[in-house]
Amino acid sequence: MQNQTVARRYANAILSLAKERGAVDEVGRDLGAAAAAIGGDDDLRRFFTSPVVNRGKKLDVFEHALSGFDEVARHAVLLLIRKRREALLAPIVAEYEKLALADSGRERLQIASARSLPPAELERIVTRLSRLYKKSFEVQQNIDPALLGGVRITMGDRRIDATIAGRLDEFARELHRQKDLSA
Amino acid sequence: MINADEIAGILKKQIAEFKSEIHEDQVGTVIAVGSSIARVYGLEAVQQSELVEFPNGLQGIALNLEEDNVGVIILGPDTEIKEGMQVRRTGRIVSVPVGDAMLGRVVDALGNPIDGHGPIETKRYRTTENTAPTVIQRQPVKQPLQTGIRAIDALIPIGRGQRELIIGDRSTGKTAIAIDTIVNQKGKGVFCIYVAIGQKNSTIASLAQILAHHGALEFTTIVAAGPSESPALKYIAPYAGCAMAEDLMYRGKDVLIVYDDLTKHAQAYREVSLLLRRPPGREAYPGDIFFLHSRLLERSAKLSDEMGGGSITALPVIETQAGDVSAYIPTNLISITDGQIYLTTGLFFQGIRPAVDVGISVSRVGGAAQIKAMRSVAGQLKLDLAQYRELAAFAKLSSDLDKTTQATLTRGEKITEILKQPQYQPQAVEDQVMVIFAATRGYLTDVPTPRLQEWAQSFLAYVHEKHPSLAKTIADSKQLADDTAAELIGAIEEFNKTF
Repeated sequence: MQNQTVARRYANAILSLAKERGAVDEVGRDLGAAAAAIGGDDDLRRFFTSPVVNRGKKLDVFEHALSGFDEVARHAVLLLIRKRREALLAPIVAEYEKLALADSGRERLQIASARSLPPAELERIVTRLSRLYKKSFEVQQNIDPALLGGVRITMGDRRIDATIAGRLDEFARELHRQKDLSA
Repeated sequence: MINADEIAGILKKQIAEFKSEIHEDQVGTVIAVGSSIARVYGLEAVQQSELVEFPNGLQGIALNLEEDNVGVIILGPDTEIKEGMQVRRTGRIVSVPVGDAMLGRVVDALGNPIDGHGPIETKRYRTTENTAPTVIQRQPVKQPLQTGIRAIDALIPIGRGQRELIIGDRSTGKTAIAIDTIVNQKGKGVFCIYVAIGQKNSTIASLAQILAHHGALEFTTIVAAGPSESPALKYIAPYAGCAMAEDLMYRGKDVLIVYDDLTKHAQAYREVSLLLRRPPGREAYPGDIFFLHSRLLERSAKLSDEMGGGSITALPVIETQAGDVSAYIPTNLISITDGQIYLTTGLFFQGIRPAVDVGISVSRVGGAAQIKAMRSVAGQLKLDLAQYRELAAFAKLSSDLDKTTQATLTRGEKITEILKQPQYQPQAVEDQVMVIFAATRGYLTDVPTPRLQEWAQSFLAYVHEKHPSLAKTIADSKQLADDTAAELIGAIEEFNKTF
């Protein structure tokens, strides 16, 4: 939890630098790629996070490895190594994405349904929602057969549940409540 | 027995009545759970003390609103909560069922019946946290709340709307005083709420039985949060009890509420506070421990006549360690309440029961609420006792004393003896007045001290039989007029001849 606060500060700084250079998306993509590459390989992850490894050596390796990356992203990773904050890379990426989205006035919209939605229907839902909330969305679609039917829309901590599974849950709760009252 | 068709019919009806609208919920995700605390990510707009709901119907209170998570105390067993569960905002705060149907019942901290006598038929609910009545909604305490205990009604009188602390070491009779007071409210139109915090369930069961035996359960609600329940429930139990009392008070009724005891309540709150990682202060209690109790006890009041004139009288109980009243929680409560009844182990083992130390017990407002008859005899009683206490220390050292000193000592001894009273035998105020009158006027000098209890009993029986108008006059006029006093003196002298 404390990590998150520190990560947010780093992410904020990286974002403002990226904005200055007009490369918000590139930095985000490169940071994400770096985090995914390091997290995806066990040996690499251990090498990256281990405090035992000589810092100079680590810096050399990553400076070389990340040479093709955007300057801001590369320096961000190198800074983390220099400051012994390697463990913060993943939370920083998450925070960066959130901040970048909020900065552009967009919000992540997750639409879950039992089957894949036809593009036209998806489009209709998103247009209505963006008119309702006066926001533009970055849509992410999930398929979850357990929902049985309908859609469940999640935006941040708001949730609109219009699935059959959700209604059944609600009905179960209602029955429980009535049982409690008349027990 | 209902058959399967009926059940199916009921279910069909409920399904037909079930309306589901699509609405927006605000949700969060459980990221950690343990020790009846859940950390929830999300719930960004949740308010302090708001009720949240877990998917299995379990509820919680959002107590800590932090930068990136919310600390929720779980009102129930935390074993059913798992990481990743969705937590929903309700937009409400905790409320409990209230109303006349609650009387005569034993309920838990959320108002659910736990006495096995079936559901509680009430549609009314009241939030547990409410603001206390304002200045203009109140009036001064002016009506007595009779405890039926001579030592208290005479020396530390309690008025309706007062907060009187009962403080003392373990097993000095704190609960006994509270129970006697409840038993004494029979037929006086005062409703009682007994909040048991962290008391053994066996104690609660025997308490309910005792109250029922004395016919006092029918106007009493017992709110119990046992030692095995989550600290969150122990924390809200007194507020729940107070909400039930408030419902009666705002309908113009007089209510007596006993919080037994607030030491355990403070400990339960300390537990949740430390688990929520709030910074510990003195004795590891959190910084808002004073507010915890002051906001609870401030809800006791005597309402103005425009508001219906109802009242809540609070008897909070505090347990001290080895008589140490300067510990954190006792000093807090002493400063919040309008006086304290102090019980000591020493007196208890000397056989002085109730073991009230009348020297340091005080009532800051109750004096105004005493009936005139009691006030007229209690003044002398206080004086006699004070003189006795001053001399008693010397008397132990020197053997030959002058006559006046000896007289003071004898009288003090007699008074101390007459203030003893067995449990579950509360006494009507007019009876108390007559006995104390006899003691302070020196009519007991010749009665041997060990026989004083017997004297008091047979004297009252005698008066009720031979002078039935006497008790009635005192009870009705509430004062001891000269002619009544003369008749009383006559009765005492008459009786003393036969005793």
